[in-house]
Amino acid sequence: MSFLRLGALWALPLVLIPIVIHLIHRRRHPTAPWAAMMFLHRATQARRGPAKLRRWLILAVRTLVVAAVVFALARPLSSGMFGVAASRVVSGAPSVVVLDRSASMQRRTESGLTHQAAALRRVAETLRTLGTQRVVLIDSVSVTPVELADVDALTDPQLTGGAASAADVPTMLRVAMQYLIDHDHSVADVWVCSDGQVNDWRPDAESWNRVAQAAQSLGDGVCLHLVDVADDPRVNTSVVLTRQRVIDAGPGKELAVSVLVERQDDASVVVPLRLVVGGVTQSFDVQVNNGRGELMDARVPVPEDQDVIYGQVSIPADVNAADDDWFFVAAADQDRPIGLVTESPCLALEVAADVLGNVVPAEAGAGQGSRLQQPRQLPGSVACLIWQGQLPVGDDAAAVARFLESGGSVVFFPPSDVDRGVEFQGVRWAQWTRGTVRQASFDQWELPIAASCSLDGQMVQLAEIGEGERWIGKIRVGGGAAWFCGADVIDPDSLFAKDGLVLYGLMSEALDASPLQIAGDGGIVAGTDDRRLQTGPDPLSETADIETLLARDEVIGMPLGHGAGVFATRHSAESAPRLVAVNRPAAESDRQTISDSQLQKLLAEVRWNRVVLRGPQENSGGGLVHEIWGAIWVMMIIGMLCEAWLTLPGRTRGESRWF
Amino acid sequence: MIEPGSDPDAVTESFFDPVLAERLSAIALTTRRPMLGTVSGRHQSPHRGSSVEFAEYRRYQPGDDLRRLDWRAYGRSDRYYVKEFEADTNLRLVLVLDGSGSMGFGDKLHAARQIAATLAYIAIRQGDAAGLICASDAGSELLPPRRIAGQVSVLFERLRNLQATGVTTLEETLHQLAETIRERALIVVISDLLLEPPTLRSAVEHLAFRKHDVAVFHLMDPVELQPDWDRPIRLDDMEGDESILVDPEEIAAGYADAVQDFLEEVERISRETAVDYHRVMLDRPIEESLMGFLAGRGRDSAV
Repeated sequence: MSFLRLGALWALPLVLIPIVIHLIHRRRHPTAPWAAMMFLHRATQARRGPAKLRRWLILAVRTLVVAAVVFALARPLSSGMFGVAASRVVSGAPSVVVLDRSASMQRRTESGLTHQAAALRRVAETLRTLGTQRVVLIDSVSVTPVELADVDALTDPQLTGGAASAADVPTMLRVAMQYLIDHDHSVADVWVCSDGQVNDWRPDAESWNRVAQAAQSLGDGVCLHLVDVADDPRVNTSVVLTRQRVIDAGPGKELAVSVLVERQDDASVVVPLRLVVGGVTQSFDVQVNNGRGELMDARVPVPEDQDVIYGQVSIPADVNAADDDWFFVAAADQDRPIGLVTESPCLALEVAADVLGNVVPAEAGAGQGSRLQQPRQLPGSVACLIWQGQLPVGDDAAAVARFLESGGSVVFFPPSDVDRGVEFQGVRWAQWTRGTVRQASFDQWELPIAASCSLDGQMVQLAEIGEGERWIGKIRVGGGAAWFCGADVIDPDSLFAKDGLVLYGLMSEALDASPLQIAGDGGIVAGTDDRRLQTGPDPLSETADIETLLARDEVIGMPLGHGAGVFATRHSAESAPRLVAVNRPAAESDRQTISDSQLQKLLAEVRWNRVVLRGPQENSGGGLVHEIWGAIWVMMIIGMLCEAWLTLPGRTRGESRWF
Repeated sequence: MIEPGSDPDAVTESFFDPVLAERLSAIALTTRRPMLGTVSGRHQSPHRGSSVEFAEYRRYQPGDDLRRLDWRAYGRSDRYYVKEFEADTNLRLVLVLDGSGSMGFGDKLHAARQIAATLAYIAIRQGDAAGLICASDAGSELLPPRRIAGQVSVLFERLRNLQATGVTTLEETLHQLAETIRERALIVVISDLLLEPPTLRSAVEHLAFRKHDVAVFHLMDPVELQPDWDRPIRLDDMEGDESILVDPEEIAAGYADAVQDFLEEVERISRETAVDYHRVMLDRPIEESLMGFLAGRGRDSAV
């Protein structure tokens, strides 16, 4: 049990009042002569035991009633979990609500509430019960502290509606801690409404260190309450569009889409799929086995006069409607964007990139279409980066690292002259071996290589050359991966460049591995800092002219890039609109959640507890704590009734009662 | 000096109401059993005597006074019969007054004096003998029953000097009385009976065994029945040094039950030992009790 008004417990010594009165009463007695001592002796022998017990019971009941009054004044709560929080709330400490609005939080409970709404409702009710005056909201969309006017604002859909973007919980916690530090709040409660999905909690993120540091500086006054709704056994199905193209099919145009449907069980089912393009709906059946089903290159005719086509694929709404749609924008045979950085023009890489995708034009110099002059602009603009030359350093290295962190793929090829002092992510080029033909093998291919550059550093070896020398290696950086291939791609006569099989295979693997390509042509992963969402000359300016072409209702009022749908953006009033499709990260359908041991490790310096709402708790309107006035009043009434009953004169025989 | 038959207004004793005594003397003080007196009186004797009241015929025995032969019966039956008549004798009234400390509670002692003085006056007035013994540890000297007129003054003097003090010796006094008074007598015990009922039973059975007619005036103060304590009170024993702190709430029920049990037991003992029991509530006039006593005895003796 805990109390909202802890100070009232100082009045607990008042329970001694009945005892003191009793003692005073007993001490202040007159003396009188008495003849019939015999009756007194008999009476004390016969009734003293029960009477004494009754007197002590009366005294105990009176004491308990006084104690109940004191407890009632202290406003007791039913749960001790937030007891300290309760007293802190009274002292004016703020409550920070960290809200995960990601797509996975839109899973619905059996009553129809989303996990987000259920958790938020319970937290709001709890804060209302605790009488919290200051509520600060940090949601996964804005990741900015917003001081709410009152607790009721927590349920404002403008602030707390479901988003398609993933949450960055460590960053939100860091912002929360920073807010508390900036406002000198050493005592506060942080309520984290999240389902603990690994994709949102990012246990490998560097931000956790900063969270730990901030928590350490704040001390023990900060307590984290993780509020989640327990998963029910109902099966969720999600849909992802893996590829879409507009194909010139002779007499007209056709849209070809490839769709991946995933279920959370191994049952074999047929999932009906709807493809909506230009107001026309086509239905397909997708056979799902062992939790996975694919629809490959399903074609629908599209109007010939439209260069850009948008639409969505949908499956029937299930427990999580947020992953039952996928929006797309398709253009004629546009392929995935590939960035190309070479120290000198490299025909082999240009051709390969052009075959596999769409080479992104350079920022400056249209004639140098194969080169990116400003690598730091990489994130969001390409799905895969091909880098030939010295390994990136300085700002370039930081930009490439960010690109990798965001899930991009990079394939490095060695420069003509190796500088052993340069390394990237702990990997460096060692030295060239030329003039000796050695056998190299990659995947199922084998080919003789005359020039190769060896590699130093920790990596996963994918291919070797000669006597076990590392030729191709791979490292993971954040959500992306980097490949290092020691082949000579500058020499157009090299067998590696001429043959092309290994080159194409390697680049294809890198492209396939990049999650950024999942968005497809014109597709954007919600929540990523994609340049295509910037409409003004200033990359940081707000989008001034955005038209929502296709989206769910909850997207209204949400910042561009966080709600799933198809949007038309304009750089200026005169410019042609650019269509972009925004979808959730595919990993939002992953049910892997962060474990308590992981949390303990990440929140080592922070006091935290986890509340999992189950069954009726999910839907009840009450909070996590309840004031138990009713129980106290009932106890008091029972106590007073007992006292009255105990003080009733006992029945005696005849009429010789004397009081 | 108070003499029976003297002017009631001249009597100045506070415990003796001559008007009441005169009024009550209209009812004769009788016994429920034959008495063995020393002189002829108005009370039935166990022996045959020369009264006018016929008792029975008895066959003649050699040595019988020939003057008592009933010749008419001889004429009718040709057998000798002696005609016997009841003998009348006087009454010996012994008043046993409890002089223990508990009799000092309320008006018990005063009431006891009133009862004793009135009964002694009535007895002597009707020619019977009256005596007195006080049961207290200060000494219990018996004033032997006498029928002389000056006995009243002596008895009243004893009553006046009586002090309620010490522990009760009622049981010992009654046993002693049973052994001392050999002739049948009317023993009137005036006490609050604050002693264990079995001892009372033993004493009255002893007296009954000696063929005494025993009557008990049980004096009770209403406060003893229904104490008016409203808060804890320390009670000092009037017959000793004991002191008890009493919480009314604590012992209320037990006390009431104890009183009830005691009264029931005393009444049962009285019934079983043929004691003429009278409870005297001090908030009621003494006359009621004395009237009941005298009238009741008149009915019993008539039967």
